[in-house]
Amino acid sequence: MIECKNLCKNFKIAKKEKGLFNSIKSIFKRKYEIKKALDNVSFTINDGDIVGYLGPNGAGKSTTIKIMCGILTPTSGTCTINGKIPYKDRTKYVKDIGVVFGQRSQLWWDVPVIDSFQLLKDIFKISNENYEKQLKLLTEKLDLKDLLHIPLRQLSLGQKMRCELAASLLHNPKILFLDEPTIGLDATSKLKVREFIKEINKTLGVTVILTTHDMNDIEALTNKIIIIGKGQILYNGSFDEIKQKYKNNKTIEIEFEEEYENLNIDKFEHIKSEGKIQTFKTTDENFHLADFITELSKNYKVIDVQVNSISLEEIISKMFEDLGV
Amino acid sequence: MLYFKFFKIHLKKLKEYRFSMFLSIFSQMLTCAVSLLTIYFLFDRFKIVDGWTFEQVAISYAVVQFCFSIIECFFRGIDEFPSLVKSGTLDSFLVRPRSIFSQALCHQVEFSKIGKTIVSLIILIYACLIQPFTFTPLKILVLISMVLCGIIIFLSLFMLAGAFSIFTIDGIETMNIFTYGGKEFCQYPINIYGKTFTKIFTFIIPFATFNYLPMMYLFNMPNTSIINIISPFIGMLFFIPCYLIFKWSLKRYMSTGS
Repeated sequence: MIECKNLCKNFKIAKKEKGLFNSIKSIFKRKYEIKKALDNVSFTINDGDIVGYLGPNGAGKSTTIKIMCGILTPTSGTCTINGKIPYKDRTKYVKDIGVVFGQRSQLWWDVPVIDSFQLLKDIFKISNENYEKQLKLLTEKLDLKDLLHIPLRQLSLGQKMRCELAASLLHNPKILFLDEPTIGLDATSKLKVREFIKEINKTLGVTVILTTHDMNDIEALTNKIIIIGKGQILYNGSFDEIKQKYKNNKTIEIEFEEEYENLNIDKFEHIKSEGKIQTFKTTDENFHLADFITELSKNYKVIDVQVNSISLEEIISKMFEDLGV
Repeated sequence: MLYFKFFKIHLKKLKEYRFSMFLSIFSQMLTCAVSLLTIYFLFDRFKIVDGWTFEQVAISYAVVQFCFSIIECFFRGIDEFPSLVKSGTLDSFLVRPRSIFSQALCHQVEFSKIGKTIVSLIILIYACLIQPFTFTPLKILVLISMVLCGIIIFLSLFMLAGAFSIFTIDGIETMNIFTYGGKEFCQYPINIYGKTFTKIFTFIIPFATFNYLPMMYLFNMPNTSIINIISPFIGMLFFIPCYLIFKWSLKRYMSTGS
């Protein structure tokens, strides 16, 4: 169980001033600006959840994750994870968590992956028995058998990510933090990573918290999402709910035989016209395509109609917009 | 012990870059030997500098070179701590259940510096052999404690530099005055730099405790007391405040995220 209560985090940023004189002055006396990275963030995450933590760049995602990993101490507020406070009893606490930073490796660059795993075994003081068991399981599930004896630097990005995932789970943590785990991966690797995350969540009961900019990750994995913007929680709930809310947003592209001017169709918002092709938008729940075309054909000569549902990316960016991020 | 497990990993890395390693070992050996030669030529001209003979200076030179190269070679991670902070590697350290200091110690072994270590050890043995007095067991003990003390003091200084880098992020040259600069200072008995510096390097940064003070005992100089014998052990205490500052700076890192 993860419980964050009124987390605030302020960063002191040295103000840079222009001009030679000011920059010399700033060596001796600096002016600081306080930037609120987190502003009263509260949420709870239950055991066994897969939670997507979303927000635009600079919203405070990494800061929250870093607090939950014990890397940062909050300015005020508390964060309790399985009864421990990450930033207070760091060395005890980190045995319970696995961390994968998509852009930073936990493994050693020049040595075969298996050697890195051995070293992690010693760092985390994993017993031989548990290590063998976990390694076998992970090797199987992530299909690592052929990769283990190759130096990390010779692996592809996708292979590396699979090894990173295995490394973060060797000590059988209860919680797994994934910071953009699919960044830069090709489609197949992405699918593999997603499948694996789902599976360990199911079989080992690992709670997963992930940040990502890939909406398909969210759709495929999470049962709960938290959206953060400008350091504040904007949404905390199920992903389906959001999808329901925006489901009815559709765009309709209609190709006419001739060009019309001042087209006006009931309940539809005209958003674009390119010669004979006109685009409309609707949020009507009772939208019915067949009726719509019949109605339209009465007055206009229609050649082709194309209906597009709003994409996940658009849903999220629309949410950011609606929430004023 | 964790260090040896890491050591094995570093050894494996070595295989990948064998040739360039041998080259740099060789060049390291040369530089180390050549700098002793400069001291030799200096004494060849003047015989005695401020009451110290070449044989005596050779000891202080060899001790400091040896101590310093041990750190550069085997505990390179603490030396490079500022760059670990800058690159964000420190974050990975923080999510592992070990102390940051021990992880930094283990982080890197720079085998190319082994050349320096070997040459300075040879010089140290040579310097011992050319002394006009004979080594009693107590003197050998004092010499060993000098080496240990030197290693600990330089480790402490690197730790201070690391702590400093957390505040400034960029590795800063100022701290190099004390680490690399300190090494240059200690090649000669500290008291040749005059009274003020001797005081600074005795009471603030205790270089003298593995250099000038115990050497007075080694060379049977007048007015030595028990202090001269145990001074290396007193110098080792320098580690404690440095470690505390280091820990404190990590706390600050965790609360600023800089």
